[in-house]
Amino acid sequence: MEAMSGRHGAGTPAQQGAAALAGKYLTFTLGTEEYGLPVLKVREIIKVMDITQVPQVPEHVRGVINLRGKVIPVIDLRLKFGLPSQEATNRTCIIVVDVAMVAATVMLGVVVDSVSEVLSVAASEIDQAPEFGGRVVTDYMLGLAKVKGTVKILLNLDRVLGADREFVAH
Amino acid sequence: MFGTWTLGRKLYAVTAVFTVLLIASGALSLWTAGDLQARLIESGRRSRQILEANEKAAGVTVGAQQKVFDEEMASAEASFALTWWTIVAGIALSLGTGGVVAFMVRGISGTLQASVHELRSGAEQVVSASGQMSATAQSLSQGSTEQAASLEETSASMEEMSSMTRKNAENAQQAAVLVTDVARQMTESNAALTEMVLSMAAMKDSNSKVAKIIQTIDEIAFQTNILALNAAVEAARAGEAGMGFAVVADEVRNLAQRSAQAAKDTAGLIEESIARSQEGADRVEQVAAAISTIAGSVEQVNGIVQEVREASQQQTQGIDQVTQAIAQMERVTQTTAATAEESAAASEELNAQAETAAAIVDQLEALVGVADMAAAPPAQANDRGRVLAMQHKPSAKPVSLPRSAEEEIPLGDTGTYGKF
Repeated sequence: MEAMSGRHGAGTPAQQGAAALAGKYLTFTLGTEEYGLPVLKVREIIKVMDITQVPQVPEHVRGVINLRGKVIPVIDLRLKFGLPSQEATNRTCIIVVDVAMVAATVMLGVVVDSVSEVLSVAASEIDQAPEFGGRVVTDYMLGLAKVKGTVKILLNLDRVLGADREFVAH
Repeated sequence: MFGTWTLGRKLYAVTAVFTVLLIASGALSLWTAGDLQARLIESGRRSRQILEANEKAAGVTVGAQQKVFDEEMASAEASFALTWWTIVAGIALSLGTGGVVAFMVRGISGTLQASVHELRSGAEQVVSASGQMSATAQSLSQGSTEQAASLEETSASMEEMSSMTRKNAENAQQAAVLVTDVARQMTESNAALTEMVLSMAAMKDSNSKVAKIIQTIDEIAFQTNILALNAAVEAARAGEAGMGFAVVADEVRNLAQRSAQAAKDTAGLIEESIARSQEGADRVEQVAAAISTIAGSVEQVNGIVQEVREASQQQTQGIDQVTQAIAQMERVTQTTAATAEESAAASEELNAQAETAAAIVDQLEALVGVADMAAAPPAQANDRGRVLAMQHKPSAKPVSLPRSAEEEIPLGDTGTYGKF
């Protein structure tokens, strides 16, 4: 990573940002789209298991699970992204990730439709999130990876799930 | 001329002749007696004249002689009167005898006439009846012949019908055999289909099991994939140290994905196979149902064909009986025809005999003279009888020769005619 950063250090600020983003991503699908998570954020991938529902929580919080004696909350990323809810299939997985909260880094489970692969994305394949104009907030995206003719959205889970303002507002 | 005279007329004639002869002889006697008397009186007168002349001449007394002479003359006159009366009485007697004879002849003739009249009417009736009988017998004979012909035709038709019915029965028999064969084959097909249905069900079951296995394989592949991903994540976290491990994890993941793809393809194939076998099972069940229906229909057809066969057999028996009855009827009809022929011949003979009898009656009539003799002379009466007989005679056969009834008619068979 350091070598890659150094190699692209002489580029534009955008290219520098992209170089910082190059690396391995765990890709997964949600609806029809593919998303990527930095692999270092990922603790493990598990099959969907029984989720204990917890009252008085936002809609996208499905509940908690018992992961080898440790209780972690589970977020439904579909609901978080405003997509219609979907019953669990035999491809549905929970990705356990580390998310930086206000106080400390915590483990969260994220329900996705299916997990695809661990993908190495070069800096040249990464674009910054474009400006959509207006007040569209795009900071939950690290960038867009162009791989094999498709575009994968690289997520900033700290922004999506972490202790930022928007998340707290929910 | 006298041959045609009736018996009464002849008797009358004879009586009249005798009476006339008697009267004539009486009259001749009367005339002769009268003449004799006249001559005697004349002779007496002349004798008296001679006597008186003598008396005058002789002058002799002749008074005594004249007295004797007068007495003799008176005696002769008395004798003549007696003779005359006797003759008159004879004439009267002969007239009376003739009247008595005529009366008697008239009585006998009346009786005879009545009898002959009755005989005649009887003979005419017999002629008429025998003519009718002959006509009836001939009609019967003709009818019997026609009936025999009709019966012959009917018999031929019945034989044809019999052969048709027999053929029908044979065909029904064949049809029954075929239908039975079909029914057996249908049953076999049904059994085979049932087995096939069972096989299809077993196949479906096997497919389901294979599908479950495939599902398990898919599950394993999925888990392997997750494991490989976890390994890749761990390798990534391990940095440079995990590079080799990452390669292994990637290979494992590739294998898992291929396994999953293969399982998916196989599952697709298996599902297709299940669907196909389900379709096949449905089709087979439809076919089985159709075959069951057909088998039922075949059973019904079999029953119907059996009924047709039995009916045909019964029909054959019935036709045989009818044929026998017709044969019997034919025999009876032929006998009837023969009898009718004989009867017709006998009737004709009877007619001829009646003719003969009528002729005899004619002769008798001619002999005794019938009451209506004046209106119809005997010869004409005879002709009329012939004409009557000819009218009642259906055949053109001329009046047969007079023969005795015993020669021609078998009186033993037709005893009624024997009295005639």
